[in-house]
Amino acid sequence: MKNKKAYFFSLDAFITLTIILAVVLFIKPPTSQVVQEIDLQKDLITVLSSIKIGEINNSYVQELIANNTITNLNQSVLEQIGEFYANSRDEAEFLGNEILGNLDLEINVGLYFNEMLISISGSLPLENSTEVWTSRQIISGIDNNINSSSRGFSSRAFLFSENKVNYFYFGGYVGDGNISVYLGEDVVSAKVEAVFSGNFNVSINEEAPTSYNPSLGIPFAFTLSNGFSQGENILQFTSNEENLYIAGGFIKITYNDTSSTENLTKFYFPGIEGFINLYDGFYVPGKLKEMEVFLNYSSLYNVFLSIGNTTIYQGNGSSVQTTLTNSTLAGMLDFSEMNDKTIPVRFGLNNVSYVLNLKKDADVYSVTDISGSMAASCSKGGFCCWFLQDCKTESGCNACGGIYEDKISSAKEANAAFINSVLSDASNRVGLVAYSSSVDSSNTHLLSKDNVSLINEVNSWIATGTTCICCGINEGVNRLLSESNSSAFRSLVVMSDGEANVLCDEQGTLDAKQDAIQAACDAAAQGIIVYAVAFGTDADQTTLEAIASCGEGSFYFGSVEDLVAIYEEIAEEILNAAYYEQTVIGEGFHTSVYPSSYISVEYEKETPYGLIVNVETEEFGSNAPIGSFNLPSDGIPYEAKVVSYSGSKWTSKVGVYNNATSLWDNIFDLSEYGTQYIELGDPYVVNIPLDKLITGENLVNVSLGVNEINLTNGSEYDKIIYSIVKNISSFSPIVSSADGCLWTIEFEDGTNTTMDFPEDYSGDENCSYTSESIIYNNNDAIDSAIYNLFTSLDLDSDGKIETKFEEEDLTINSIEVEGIPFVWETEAQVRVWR
Amino acid sequence: MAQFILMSKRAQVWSLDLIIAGVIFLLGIIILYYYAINYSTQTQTQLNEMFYEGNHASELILDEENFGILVEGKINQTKLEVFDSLSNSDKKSLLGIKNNFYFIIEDLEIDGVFVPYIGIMNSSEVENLIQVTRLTIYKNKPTKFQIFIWT
Repeated sequence: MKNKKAYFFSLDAFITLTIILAVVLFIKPPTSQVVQEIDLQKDLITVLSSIKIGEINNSYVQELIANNTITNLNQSVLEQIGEFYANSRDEAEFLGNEILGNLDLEINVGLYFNEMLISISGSLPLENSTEVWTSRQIISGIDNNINSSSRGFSSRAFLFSENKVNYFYFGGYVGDGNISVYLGEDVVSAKVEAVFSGNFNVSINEEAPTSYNPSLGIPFAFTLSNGFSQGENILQFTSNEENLYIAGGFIKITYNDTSSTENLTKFYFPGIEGFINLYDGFYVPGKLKEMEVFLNYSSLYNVFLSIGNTTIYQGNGSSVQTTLTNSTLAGMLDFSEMNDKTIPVRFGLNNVSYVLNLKKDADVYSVTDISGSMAASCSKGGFCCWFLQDCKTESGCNACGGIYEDKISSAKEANAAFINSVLSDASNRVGLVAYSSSVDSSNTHLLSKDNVSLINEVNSWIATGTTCICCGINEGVNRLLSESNSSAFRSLVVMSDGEANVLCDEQGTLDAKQDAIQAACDAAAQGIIVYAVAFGTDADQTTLEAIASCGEGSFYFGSVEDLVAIYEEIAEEILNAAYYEQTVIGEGFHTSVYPSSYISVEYEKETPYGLIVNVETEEFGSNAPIGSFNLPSDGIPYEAKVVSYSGSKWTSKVGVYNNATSLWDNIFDLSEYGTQYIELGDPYVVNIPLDKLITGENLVNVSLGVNEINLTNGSEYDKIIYSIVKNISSFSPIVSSADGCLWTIEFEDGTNTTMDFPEDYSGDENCSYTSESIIYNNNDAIDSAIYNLFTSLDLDSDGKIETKFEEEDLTINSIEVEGIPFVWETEAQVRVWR
Repeated sequence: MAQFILMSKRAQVWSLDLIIAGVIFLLGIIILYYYAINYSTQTQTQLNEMFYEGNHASELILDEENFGILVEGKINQTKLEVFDSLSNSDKKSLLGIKNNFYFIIEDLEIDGVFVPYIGIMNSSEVENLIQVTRLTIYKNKPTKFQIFIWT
């Protein structure tokens, strides 16, 4: 009896199984009903576009037709709503709501025009939706019902910039001493770009100066926006170090000036206080009618002024103010030969031995220590290196907590950087001497311009042996004497990481260190400058300092981390030293020319009416010596100039490519004025005659030289500055509104500003004309007119406006036209969401 | 001793019962599990097919070509009545619908008489039902067009 209980569990389970099967077999789930609103947004756009407003069965529409609010019965419903929207009428919303409401949709639907919600059906806000579908359609129309109350608007935007831009060009060489520039009255800002000879200070109207530390040999730019007065403004460049000079450059001056352009150009001289030494040029922009020169200077030594190759003035005295009248000048110069030409100008001191503007080529030997101590090593690795790790590898050394130094690799890297830096000037040469116990010729390289070959040699060096610094110096000196000559700037860069421990018979001091120092002294005696680098903490800094001192060079101390930077610094010093050679000036001269001095030319040239828009191109860069610029078809070229950073040479020739002949037309040739360039001015800016320019791309080629032979390429920093006279007004089409906008504008100088147009605009519409985005309402007459104006002022179509202006400079006239047909256009959207 | 043997046998019987019950119970769970999974997939597949049919049918009906009922974007009464006059099997055949369907439009009128729907409406038990809503123009009014398909 008790055993029967053993079926109970099985019985229970069986019953459960039966229930499950019953559920599966006999009980079905409830009906699945799923609703899908397919493409409702597309359907609604289609429906509203298909049904005409005049035939829709809707009481509200009939009412609007009856009261003549709706007059064009052939428009679609969507077009009618669009017209109401374009006219800013509330009927757009009412009609939209009427239609959506009657549809009684279970889903949320919104009707939008230009992203603005017109009407909505449903309770869920779009912001809270999880899924959104959108359909779009552009609709447009013409409101041509003359009897309706519809109004059209047209606007005209007129830019009358209070800010005029003018350029002051420094000339190919302006020196030597304190330099000042007369900027004029009502200056708003001044952007300076020039090659400076060293660190300098700038002060405006003798106020507290600001210091600048430019990179040598390349243009340095900065902008001055504060400190100008409404009266006359003088910009002064001074230097605490030595006589300053400027080797080409310009000041872009923005004036708050309403004066109109005159056909009278004054080329003001930069003021120089120190040693008058000016190489410059000026341009006659048309047919020369009259000319006048005014000089204001102080010099007890005889000064001279040459225009072209004619010396038109010589004299001296204290506080001399003299005017060369037109009749005087006409007797000395052939005016007819000066029309549309850039004329070189030279102003300097007579009877002074100038060290003239001849750059020396640099020949330099890198004398590098490759003794055993330069090999890669691991210090402070301890027993770990002996028993646990291979500390010859960086990872093994690090694993033992040691300090890994790979001096030879750093030296190779530094030499490679040095080679590339020095050879950046194509006229320079580099040679290599690697020394250890002696100099092995297999570890040397002759002076060369081939950086690949030189760097291959560097990479072949292996560190071994002792340290014979004097061997390295002597080998470098001997090679420079045999491979180079005194016309070049000759130097050695001697590097060592240890102490000199090998003697040299040439010096014979019986002390290895003294031999090394004496070798440097001997090099200096031969006109060879010796720079010394102590590499690492084990280097004999005292000896190397003495080497640099006696070798008339500089001493540097470097570690593994900064050796490359040091070699690059030395390379720059050598490049500059080679350059400085040209600008050694006399001592004890105290002469001045004041910035009120000028050359004035009056010329015949029709100045077109309009706004002058100035454009600076990018630097020529890798395309040097050729630069290009594009002239737009909707502007009249007013001026075009190429600025040439001629450095130690003269801007010798400038050509413009002639597409008709496929040849370069010379627009400037210094050799016309003489073969001895050193006696001529060096124009920094060469004007391009306008008849040489074409609409579209223009190519300009610049050549440099010290005489008419052996011309070299112009600088990569050259650029073209041109100006276009543009129509300064623009119109909008007749559209439905003229409200205005808050504009965000980006100018070519990178600055952004926001301005209300019209000035009293107080709405919340935002428009932009920037490189990032261009947004405006094309159904707003004011916005359209301003957009059209900005487009015409954006010469390179980069979303940045070339001409800087203030809010008050832009005048806007809006004309309301009653009953005049006008077009409107808008984007209609239907959005469906849930 | 005998009592001990008897108790031992009883224990074995209970254990066997428990094991058999466990097996039966697990079998039930497995059947239910597979049924639930398969039913869900089956249902979804069927719904997808029905949606396809519904979308396709609505496209065909709201068309100006072939047997579609539109002219110039609006429902044409004549074409609508011609469509309505087709037999249910012909309607299903033309629309490519295997299942039952009907569609409704506000103020739907056939031969001058207001009708609630066009298509098949019977009292058969509904297992799956889908609804596709479109918009069109009927009697010069923007109108909802809703097609229902069920199995």
